[in-house]
Amino acid sequence: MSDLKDLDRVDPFLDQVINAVPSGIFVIDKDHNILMLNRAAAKMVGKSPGECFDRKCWEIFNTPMCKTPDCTCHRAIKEDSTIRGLSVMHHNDREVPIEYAARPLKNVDGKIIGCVEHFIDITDRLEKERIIVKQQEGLLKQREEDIRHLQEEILELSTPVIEIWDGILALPLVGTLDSHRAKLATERLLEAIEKTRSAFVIIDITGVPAVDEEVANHILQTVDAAKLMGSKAVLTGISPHIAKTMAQLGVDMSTITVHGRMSDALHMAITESTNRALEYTNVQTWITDNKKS
Amino acid sequence: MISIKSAKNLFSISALGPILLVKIEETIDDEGIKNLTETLSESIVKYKSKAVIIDLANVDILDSYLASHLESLAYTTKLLQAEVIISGLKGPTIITLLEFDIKIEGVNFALDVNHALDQLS
Repeated sequence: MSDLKDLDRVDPFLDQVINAVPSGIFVIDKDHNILMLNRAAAKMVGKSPGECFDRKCWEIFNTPMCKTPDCTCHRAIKEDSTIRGLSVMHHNDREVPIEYAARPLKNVDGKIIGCVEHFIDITDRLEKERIIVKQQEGLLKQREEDIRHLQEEILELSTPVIEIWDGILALPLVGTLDSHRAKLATERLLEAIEKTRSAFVIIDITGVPAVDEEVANHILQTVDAAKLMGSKAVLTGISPHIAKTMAQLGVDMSTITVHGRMSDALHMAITESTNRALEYTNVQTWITDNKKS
Repeated sequence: MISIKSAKNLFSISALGPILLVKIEETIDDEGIKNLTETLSESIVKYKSKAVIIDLANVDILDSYLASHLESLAYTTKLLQAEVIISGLKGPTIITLLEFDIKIEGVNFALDVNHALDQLS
């Protein structure tokens, strides 16, 4: 204690300075007795500096680390180093988040005689940080939403199913076909066939720049889907480049009707559906005739 | 028009001239399918049918079991010199068939019964 007595003789000017500092500063001895405490520190725990002297620091600053080996001052004294960190002070059922830094206090001989701790109230800072994080999250969410919306829009735009004639649908495929897009195109095509009761579908791949095995399989699957539905799918717009790739890949196109130009396919579809319509009338007549007899 | 209804209403077979119209209901079970194959082949011979339309408009789930049975049904029918058209498959059912790579070979497909009749003429 003899070493610490020197500290009692505080220079009035220094005392003024320490009390003028807006953040909390206090000094304890090795037994956690408070030797000095500035006004800001006392104010933060809702006490006057007089009330705090000669009491244990953990009585005044009630933090989760008090009386544990993690105690800042304990560590600073033990490790002879500066300890920094964040914690929470409790007083009057109120939680005050703080940021602290503690350093061991030494006498002229370099012997550790206590610890000085400095801390600031970071309620406002945390609040601001929370607002910033919230805003960032909001922005990110908004961005994701926008991107998703745009992607959906592109998908919608890129797979139109058009009824170009009575009972004839066209599915012009444009751009690269990935599995997601291919699936969407197939679903939309099936929906359109179901809705319009179309017996013909012309799948045009003029706008597909390149074909690999995956894309070829997607196209074949779409054709299969239309077939299962009862609609006849015709593939058009195969460029020489794609034809070559398909041949090299060994894609089995034997079950698929292919036409060079979309107009040829349309012509074929119209002719066939007209013939069908005529035959259908014949069947209807046949059924009614049979019913009569 | 002659109509045969199965027990528990699992399917019905109607004879329209040279065409047999088979309607399968959602509730069809394994027993029902076996029963159907038998009744159908007998009917084809009895009514000298040239074609069979299998309408699946009421079936929402087509599993691999039913699919393979439809295939063998088609094969049996072919041996009896009649062709098979399956009509009324729904979009989601088709997507499932494609996803699980379930194939029904040797069969033609139609949008609905009308379209099937259309194809037969």
